[in-house]
Amino acid sequence: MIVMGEVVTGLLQNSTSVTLAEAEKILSLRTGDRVCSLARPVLYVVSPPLYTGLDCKIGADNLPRARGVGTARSRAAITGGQIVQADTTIICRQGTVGHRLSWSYYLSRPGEVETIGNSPDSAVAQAWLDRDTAQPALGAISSRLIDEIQGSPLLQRPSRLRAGRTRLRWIAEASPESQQRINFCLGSNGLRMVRITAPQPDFVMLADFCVDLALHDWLLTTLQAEVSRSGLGEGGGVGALKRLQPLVDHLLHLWAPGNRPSRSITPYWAALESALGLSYQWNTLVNRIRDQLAFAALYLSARTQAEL
Amino acid sequence: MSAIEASYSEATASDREESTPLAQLSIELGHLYREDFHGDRSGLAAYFSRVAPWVTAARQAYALPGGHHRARISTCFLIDDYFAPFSTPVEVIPALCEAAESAGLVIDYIARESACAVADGVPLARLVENRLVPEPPASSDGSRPPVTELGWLSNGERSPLAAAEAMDGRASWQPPLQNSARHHSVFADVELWSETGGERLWSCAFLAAVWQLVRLGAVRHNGAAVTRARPHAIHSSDTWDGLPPILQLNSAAAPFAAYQTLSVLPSRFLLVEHAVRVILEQIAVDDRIWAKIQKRGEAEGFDLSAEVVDRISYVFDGRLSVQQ
Repeated sequence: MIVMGEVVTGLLQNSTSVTLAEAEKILSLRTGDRVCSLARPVLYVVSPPLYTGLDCKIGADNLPRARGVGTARSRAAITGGQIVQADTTIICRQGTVGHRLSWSYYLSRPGEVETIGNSPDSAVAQAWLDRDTAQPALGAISSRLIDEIQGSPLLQRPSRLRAGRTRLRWIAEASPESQQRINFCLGSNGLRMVRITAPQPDFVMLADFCVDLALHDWLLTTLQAEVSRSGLGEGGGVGALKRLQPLVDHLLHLWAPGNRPSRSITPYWAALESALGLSYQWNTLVNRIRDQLAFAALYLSARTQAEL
Repeated sequence: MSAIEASYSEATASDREESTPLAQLSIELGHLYREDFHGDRSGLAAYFSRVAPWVTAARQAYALPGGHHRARISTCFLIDDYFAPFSTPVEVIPALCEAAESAGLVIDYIARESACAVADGVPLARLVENRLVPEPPASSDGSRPPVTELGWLSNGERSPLAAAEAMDGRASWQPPLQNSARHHSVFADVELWSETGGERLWSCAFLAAVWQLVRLGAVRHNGAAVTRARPHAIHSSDTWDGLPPILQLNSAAAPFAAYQTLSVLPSRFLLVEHAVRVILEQIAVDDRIWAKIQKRGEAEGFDLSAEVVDRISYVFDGRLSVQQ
């Protein structure tokens, strides 16, 4: 059994942060189902799960490809009233029959896809991470969900910030060896790939971890891009700082990796921080902005003194 | 001193769903429409006398494993007050109960068909509509949104619209294709609702699908149970909407909702109930509620299927008719 997913992360198209009440209304994608939320450390609001039917080929190009039938499970979330995410996952199991069963069979196992025909887990895993256009198109399902949210009449455009979307494609597999592994690969065009192996993976926890990782990777990517565009420290002067102000206002306080009530994602964050130093990179950039702000304040004060 | 273990949680982090009492089996003794009711009670008595043996057989078929305890079985009857409301509660209900009693049957609950659309202010039909997950045709990889026809649901791929022209210039028909066909297709296309002047009229098949889900205790609105069966004085209202959506007639009855349902119906309902199956095969019930119900059933010794449609059984009897 393997679990595959794709998280799409972007900026909510609203002029300010949305409140808890507004986020709940925006994410009420299905009448009668309640939206869940966490207030601390950062406001996190998540929609009820939605399902999409799938019947498609999965697996590697150069091997006989299995047919997978079932449903993908999607959820949308708004963090800090600013960041919107949609994650779509499937639990992929080897089927035991050679034909498609009645649809009620697949709906009694929501979020699962069963394969018809042979395709080893390892081939499916490799194809999922290798191919540009992976099948099933979980990223497309996530993107459409974000588009639906961005189209909500409750949002007031434009946003004060401009930021792109990132996609984090992930896979978790059970492995016979006792060593748990996590591999993070930065791809092109906003794609990141994460591969996790563990003897007894907790797939629900790992899905939460990947959403949290996608969020923080987006924050870092966005900050890096904005700092580079602003000309900070490259003679951009106060103008550079002004261009960064919306970022400082809206996003700098949202960095809180691993801070979910379920602490079981903590060891994964610890391992990743040790290898990648995401928080180190974030803090370096934040300190750079603060240092430039301090210098600008100093020069302004000195100039004011001189004029008096 | 040993270290203190602290944990943190928030009440809004997960949604709690209300549990409701459940019988082991709900038996539907029939549906009554305007064209069936002529006020003559002998037709009704004959109807129930033909239903009664099926109820006796059901009590045996659905008995608890081991058979030590009396099974919790409740009975219900559905009256149409949605498509063509007729007569009054005080004329119809005593007539039904007397006729049932003459055949040794007790009607525990009377439900109004309009309750399947809206019950106690809760839009049940809309709630169920939102849970539709249509069957994907082959080659659905999620890259494009699913194609749906507003107000219709099928179990396969419809015949193509622009049929190819044959050599003699006439359009040739291309067959539809049932998704889960084995060798040959049985294709169904079900109308879920129609709209006139902005007003939506739900189809009989869709309301009957909602009816089955309510009987299985599978519907919640913001976590709360959707409607509670309750007693009410039938002479207190001349119209059906003055009564509760589900009227409890028998104070000693087992709960209205149950792990499984059985409906004893005239054969003419087979087409509609097939449509109900097409619909219910494409409804994703709340999986947490469903898992809880399954666990409760298993704790009582029942081996319940995980599929909604397998909890629903029918007796279609060609001899059943209330018309004289």
